[in-house]
Amino acid sequence: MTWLNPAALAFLGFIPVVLLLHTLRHRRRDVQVSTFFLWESVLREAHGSLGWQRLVQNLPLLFQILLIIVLTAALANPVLTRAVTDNKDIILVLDVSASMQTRTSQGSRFTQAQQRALEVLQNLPSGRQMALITAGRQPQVVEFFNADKDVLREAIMRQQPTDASGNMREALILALSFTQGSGTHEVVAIGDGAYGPLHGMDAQRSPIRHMQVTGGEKNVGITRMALRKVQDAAETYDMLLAVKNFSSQPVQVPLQVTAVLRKPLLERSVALQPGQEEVIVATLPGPLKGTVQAEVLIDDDFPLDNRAYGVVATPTQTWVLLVGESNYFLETLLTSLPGLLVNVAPQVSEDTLPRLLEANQLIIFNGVQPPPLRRGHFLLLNTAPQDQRLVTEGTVQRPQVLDWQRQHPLLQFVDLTALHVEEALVVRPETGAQSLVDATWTSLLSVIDEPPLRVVMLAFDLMRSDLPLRVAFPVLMSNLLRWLHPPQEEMSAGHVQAGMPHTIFFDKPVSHITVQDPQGKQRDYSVTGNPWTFADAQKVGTYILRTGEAKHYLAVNLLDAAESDINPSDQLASFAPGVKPAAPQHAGVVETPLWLYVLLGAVVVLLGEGYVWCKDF
Amino acid sequence: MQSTLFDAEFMRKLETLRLLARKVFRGQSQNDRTTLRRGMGLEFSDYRRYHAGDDFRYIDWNVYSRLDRLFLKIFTAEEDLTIHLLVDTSRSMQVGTPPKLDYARRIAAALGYIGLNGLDRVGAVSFADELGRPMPPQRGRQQIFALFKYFEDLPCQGSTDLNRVLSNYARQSAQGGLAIVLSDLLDAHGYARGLDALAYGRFDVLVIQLVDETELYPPFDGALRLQDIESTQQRRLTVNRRLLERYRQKVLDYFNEIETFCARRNIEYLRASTTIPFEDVVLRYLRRGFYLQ
Repeated sequence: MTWLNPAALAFLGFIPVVLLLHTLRHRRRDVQVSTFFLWESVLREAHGSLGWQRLVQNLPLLFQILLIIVLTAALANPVLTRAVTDNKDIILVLDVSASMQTRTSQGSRFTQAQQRALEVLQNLPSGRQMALITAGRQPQVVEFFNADKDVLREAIMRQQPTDASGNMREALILALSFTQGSGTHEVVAIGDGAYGPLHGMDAQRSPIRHMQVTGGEKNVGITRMALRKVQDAAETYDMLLAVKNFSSQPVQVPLQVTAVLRKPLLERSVALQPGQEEVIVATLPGPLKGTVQAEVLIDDDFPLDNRAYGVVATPTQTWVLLVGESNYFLETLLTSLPGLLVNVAPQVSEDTLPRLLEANQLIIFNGVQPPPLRRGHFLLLNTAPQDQRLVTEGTVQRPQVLDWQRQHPLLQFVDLTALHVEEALVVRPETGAQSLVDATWTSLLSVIDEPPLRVVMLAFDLMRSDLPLRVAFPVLMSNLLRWLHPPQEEMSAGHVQAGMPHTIFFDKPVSHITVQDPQGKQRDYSVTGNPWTFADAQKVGTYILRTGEAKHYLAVNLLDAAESDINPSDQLASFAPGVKPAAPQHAGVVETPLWLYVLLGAVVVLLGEGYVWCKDF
Repeated sequence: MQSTLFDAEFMRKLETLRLLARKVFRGQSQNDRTTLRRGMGLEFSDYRRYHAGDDFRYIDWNVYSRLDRLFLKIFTAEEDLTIHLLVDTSRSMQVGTPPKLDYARRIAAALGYIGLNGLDRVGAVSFADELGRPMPPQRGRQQIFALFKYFEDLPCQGSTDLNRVLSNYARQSAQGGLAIVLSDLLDAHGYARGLDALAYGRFDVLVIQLVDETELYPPFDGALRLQDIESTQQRRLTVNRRLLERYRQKVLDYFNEIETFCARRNIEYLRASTTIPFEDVVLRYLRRGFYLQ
């Protein structure tokens, strides 16, 4: 045991003071009595021995001295020191994924994990530091290396499990990056073992100690859900729903789909064997508007995935005018996109352009020179505008894609790696224009974004590239259509997994947006750009984003079979302590503060003195 | 006739009283008390045969005329009573307000006055661990001043040894009678043998135990250094409520023990607190106990 504040031991100097006061207070008065023998007889009977009598007589003094000693000890802040051989800084990775909400007989898995984390903190050697990383969808450093246990304890207790999928691998990689390959750090991961793939971590240089929390094994969850309007049938919707049994026992799962105000749309019962997934495709009668909720009516250990939400918005109709050469891929794509109506024209003159702009939200020029463009939304394929901001200088053969702006809304989820283009225009974007895809000698994709004019220029012929054959093509076209012509109805909808960002396009400048979460709490956000990314969709349910009169419904779901599988992963052993820990560098100590217990002892002594005083020994 | 012990009014009240003894004693002078001695009293006692030399005046001639034999009438002699006043003058008797010794002096003087006034013989002796200078039993009212002077001059000194001094007095006293012991009876060595020696001797014993209230209800507590007033021994102790209660019970037990002892030995016992005016002790309590008539 050591004293953290040994200077407080100086308070022991009060003992002589108390003794002096006691001596003064108990200066004995001389009293003459007729005889002694009666007094001695009384004392013999009362106390048996003179020693006991003296002890009892001095009990208050003894209690007071004891009280000073105990209080001094408490002020001196005693700590129980325990030597430990493992003397390392700790990087604690705490799993906050949705599966940590699994109910167990001892509370939730996350509650257990918090307790284990506190135990790790308690055993942290004195002077050593600990960092805390949460393994949610994105790893987050909650507390960087800190030796203050109170701060760390508060940080651990502040954490809550999210509704999002976890990414333990990313969190562990981040944690390992802090170790810098030294043997003075230890990564401690606390979680339920229900992680995704964990390969590729450098566990040989810095061992990872895994502390698994267990409990809860029965789960049936909705793993997929999709809603779409049937194009050919009015007021009819198709719904796809996948339900999976993650338990080891077969279950009969009642399933219910309801609309707003719990209006039943579908009721069905599904029998699922262990590990079996059942995909249900059903047609829902319309008209539908707002939230549609699918629910498995079963009481399992992980209720988060028992519900899934979808939103149905009024479909918008977009008129597109395709001018120029016929393009099979483009026409097929345009006609397959919902809500898109296509007109075709061989040529457009400058005079007819204003009228056509009123009838069409988007005009695509495919290989034909457009008239001067001053307002409107245009997609130029293998042609250049008559605009100083986009200068063309001949052609270039087989340009190689050098880089593209992945964060631009037009290129989100678009992969242009190894794109083959036979020939492309040499385009040099000037001031007012922006190159989004840089290639050798040219810009393959350029934009002019100066409302009311928006022009996207693709500098090559689709038919002379492999772009139409790649996945990137429909994604690019979808992004392009949404960017050039955002939904203009009063109500739009989106779907996203919990924890994932959601991008919203505005057709007019917006400065702020109000978001109402599934619990009804509202929060205002400043809109810094168009599109704007909403990254706080952390809870499963329906978010409502309001800008003026317009509403945007956002259905947030878990819909992650890996996360719904609450059983520990088979790959857990791959990073569990498979390596020998490094030899202990220095023996450290773990300090357990004792002042509270000592203070309780002081209270007991005080009560004892009070008892002696009342009993008048 | 003035005294510092009590006033003339009280003395007039005492003149109407006389001391009673339960035993019948042989007296020295003729008085009105019945004695064991056959004599010239007024009360007929018995007959006996005439022997040569008997006083003819006591021959019952009527018997002689009927029986033709000489018988003498025998009368009970009426003689005086010897009263022995034994006053404890040990240092413990100076405790109290008034001091127990002053109280004892007054009671002894009052009883002596009653005795002398009743033409009894009154003697006095002080005692502590030894017998003090005695005042031999004397008769006559002229002895009152000497008796008062004796009591007024009693010193307060020495420790108590009741067994020894009372035994010695019983052995040394030539004349039996009523022995009145005035003491606090606070003697670590006991009192039984001393009182037994008196009671089994020629004495009718009256014990008047003098008690000061502070001895029964000590007016102190806390940290003390107790001093035995007789032995000058000291004892440090802390007195609290519980200890005082134990002490009181101890004292009461001791007093009850004395009372029981006296009752078994046919010894008259009276406990007098110094808070009671001594006139009341004499005029009321002693009369109530039939020690005075």
